[in-house]
Amino acid sequence: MNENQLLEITTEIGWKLLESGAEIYRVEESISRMLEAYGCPKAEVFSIPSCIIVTINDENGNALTRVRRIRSSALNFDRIDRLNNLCRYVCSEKPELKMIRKSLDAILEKPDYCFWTKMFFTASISASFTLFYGGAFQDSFVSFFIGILLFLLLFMLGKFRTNSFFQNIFGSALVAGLSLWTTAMGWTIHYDKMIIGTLMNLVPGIAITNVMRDILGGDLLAGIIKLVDSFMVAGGIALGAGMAISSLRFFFPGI
Amino acid sequence: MWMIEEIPVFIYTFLACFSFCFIFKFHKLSHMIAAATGGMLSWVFYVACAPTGNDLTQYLISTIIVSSYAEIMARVFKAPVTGFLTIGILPLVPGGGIYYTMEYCVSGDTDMFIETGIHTIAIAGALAVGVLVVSSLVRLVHMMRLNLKQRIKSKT
Repeated sequence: MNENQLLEITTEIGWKLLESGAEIYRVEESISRMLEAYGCPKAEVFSIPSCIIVTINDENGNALTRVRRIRSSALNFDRIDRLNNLCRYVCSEKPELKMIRKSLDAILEKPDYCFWTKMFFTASISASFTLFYGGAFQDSFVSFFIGILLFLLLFMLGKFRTNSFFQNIFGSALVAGLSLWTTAMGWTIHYDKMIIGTLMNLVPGIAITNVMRDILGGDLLAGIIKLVDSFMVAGGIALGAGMAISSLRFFFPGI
Repeated sequence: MWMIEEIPVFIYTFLACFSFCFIFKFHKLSHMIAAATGGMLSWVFYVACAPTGNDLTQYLISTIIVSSYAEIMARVFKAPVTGFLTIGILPLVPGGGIYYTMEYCVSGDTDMFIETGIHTIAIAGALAVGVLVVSSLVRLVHMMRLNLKQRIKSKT
C-alpha cells in the first residue's frame, strides 16, 4: 500500500466533489471514510469552499499532507451522484488504487451538455419564469430571446475569465436594459416581470439552502463564506439592473 | 376554487424547474422529473396555504414540505439531497422581492425600499428556517437509528 498515492486519489475525489457543489460535510466524510477503509484511521480532513487539506500518518509516523485549492464551483448534480457512488463502492469493496483511478477518469470524462442545449434551456428558464411571475405571453416570448442574449454574454465573459461579480453586473444590466427598451417600444407589457424572470438565471448563485445545511453541519466558516458570496451575487444583480434602469429612464421618461 | 385558477402557473413552474435541471447537469430523466415535481409541489403548497393570510407562513410551510420531499427523493434514488432541494426551492426564492427593493432604491422611495427590503430578508429567513428544521430532524432520526444499531450490537 502506497500512502502517497492513496492520499492523492482520495484528495482528488474530494476536490472534484467540492467543485461540483457538494456540501462540506459530504466532502470531509467521504475522504475520511475512504482513508479509514484503507487503514488510515487517524486522518485529518479540513475543508472550506475554496480549499481542502488532508493529513495522514504513514507507518513510520511521518505526516503526509496534501492541499488542493478550488477556484470555482458550480452545481453538477450528475457528477456528485457518480462520485458519491464511487466513494460507497471504494469503502465497501476496497479495490486496487489503479481501479479507482480508472473509474474516476471515466466519471470526469463524461461529456457535458452541448452549447446549444444549454442555450435553449437558459432561454426556456427565462420564458417560463416570466410567465410564472405574471407576465403576458408576448413578454415571455421576448424573454426567450433576451435569455439567449444573456447566455451568449455570460459565455463570452466566461471565456475571458472575468469574476462572477462582474458577470452578474453586466448580465443583469443587459437584461434590465433590453426589457425596459422593448416595453418602451410597446412590444411587451410588464418589463418588471420580464426582468425578474430572466434574472432567475443568475439567482441560483444565492444558495440559501446550502448555507443553512453547512451551518447546521457545524461548518460555520463555510457557511459564512457562502453567505458573503450570495450577498455579492444579489448585490451585483441589483447594481447592474439599477444602473441600466435608471439610465434608460432618462431616455424614455414615463416608464 | 383559487387552486384551479392557478393550474397554468403550476405548469409554468414545472417547466421552469425542468429547464433548470439541465443547467444543474442532471443526466437521468427520472431524477429530472422528480426534481421538477418538487419545484411544482413547492408552489402548489404555497398557493394551498393562501387562506392563512400571511405569506411568511406560506413560505415556511411549503419549504418544510419541499425539503421533506427532497429528503425522501434522495433516499429513493440514492442520490445527493442538494440537487433536489435546490431545484425544489427555486420558485420560492424571493427574486421579485430583490428586484422591487432595488427598484424602490433607484426611484428614491425610501420608505418602500426599507419595507420591501426587510420583507425580502424575512422571506429568505423563512426559507432558511424551513430547510433547517427538516434537515436537523433528518439528522436526529439518523443518529437515533445508528445509536439503536450499536446498542443491539453490544447486547448480542
